Order: sequence, then C-alpha cells, then structure tokens
Amino acid sequence: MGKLLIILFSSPMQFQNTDSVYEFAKAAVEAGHEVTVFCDVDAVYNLMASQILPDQKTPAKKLAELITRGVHFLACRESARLRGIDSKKALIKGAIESSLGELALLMDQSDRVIAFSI
Amino acid sequence: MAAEGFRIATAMVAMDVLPKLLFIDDGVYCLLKNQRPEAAGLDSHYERLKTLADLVGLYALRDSVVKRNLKIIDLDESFNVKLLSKDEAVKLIVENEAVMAF
Repeated sequence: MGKLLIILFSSPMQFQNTDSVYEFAKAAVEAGHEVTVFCDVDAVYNLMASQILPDQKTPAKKLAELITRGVHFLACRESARLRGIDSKKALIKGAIESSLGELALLMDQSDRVIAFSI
Repeated sequence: MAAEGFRIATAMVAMDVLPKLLFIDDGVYCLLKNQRPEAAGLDSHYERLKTLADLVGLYALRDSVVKRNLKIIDLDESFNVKLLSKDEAVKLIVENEAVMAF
C-alpha cells in the first residue's frame, strides 16, 4: 500500500475542501494506505478543538475521527503562531505540530501528493 | 497564497527537494519589474524570488504573459524567467512527481 500526502490550505466551513479531504482521507485509509494530512496557513483552523456548531459535528471532530482511524494530522507551527493559535494546547488530540521543512521531506517520501488549495 | 507558495518552495530548497516554479494566469504579475509593495505597506517577495530564480529557475506561461499585454522586458530581468509554451508547460508538470497550485 502507498503513502499518501494531502496538503490542505483552506479554512473550515468557508470552502468544500475540508469535507473533500475528510472523505478522501477516509477512503484512502480504509483502503489500507498510509495517509498524512498537512494543514498549512488558514487550514490550521481546521484542527482547533474549540470549534462550535450547535446542530452538527464540527470539522475538527470529523478530522479527529480520522486520527482514531490512523490518519496523521500535522499543523504548520508557524502558520498557527502567526494566527495567535497555541499549537501545543488549542489543537485536537493527536494533531502534531510540524514545519514546512518537514512538509518538503514528506513530499519527497510520499508516493502521491494532492493539494487542496483555493 | 503566492507568499506561502514561495515559503514552501524555499523550505523545499533548504531540504534539498528542488521544486520548479511555474507562473500562470495572474501569477505572472509576481514577476513584474519595478514593484514597490512597501508603498502599500506590503512585504516584498523580491529577495525570496531572486533566490529561487538563482537556485531552481522561474518559468512563466507565455500565453499568460501575452494575454495581459505584457512583454518579456516587463518582467524583472534578474529573475531570468523562461517563457514556456503550453506544450512545454505540460511537459514540465508531467516531469515532476507532485504539483501544488497557489
């Protein structure tokens, strides 16, 4: 099975990307692939545990569900810092701080890379 | 998003994963000479782009330049931009293992 890297650049709720990434990553991990999702720039908002949606599951909760299924979620530390987000405390359980340097290495090591931009 | 693209490209160079930068559509405006973003309180990308131009080279789609009534002399000569036809751009994209659009 292959290594899939998904790079997400957009914030939750404003674009379709988060839902697409959720469905895509879910299908890939269920098919036995190793899946990593790197959240860059505004995409770090996807991983904030404090999201509230009264009548439905928040994007962060949906993504957290994928973490329990084995999908790796990485958040760009600098993107979080620039947005005033404490990436050590504010993110969903299991999301890991990362860097653009690590992203470059992941791109090199992955069999497929797909980017969800705006 | 262009700024983040340049940051990622710089990180890739630092990690010895060499990218190619292809400017299409309005992206070609990033390459214009005599830009003064500081006049509008914006950061300049010049130094980062110059570094990327020196290390990995910059490419632009000729059609995107022409459609905006621009000429090669309108682009910053220090970037040494290579203009590509659509076929050449397709070849460049196919040659690379991953493509990110900003």
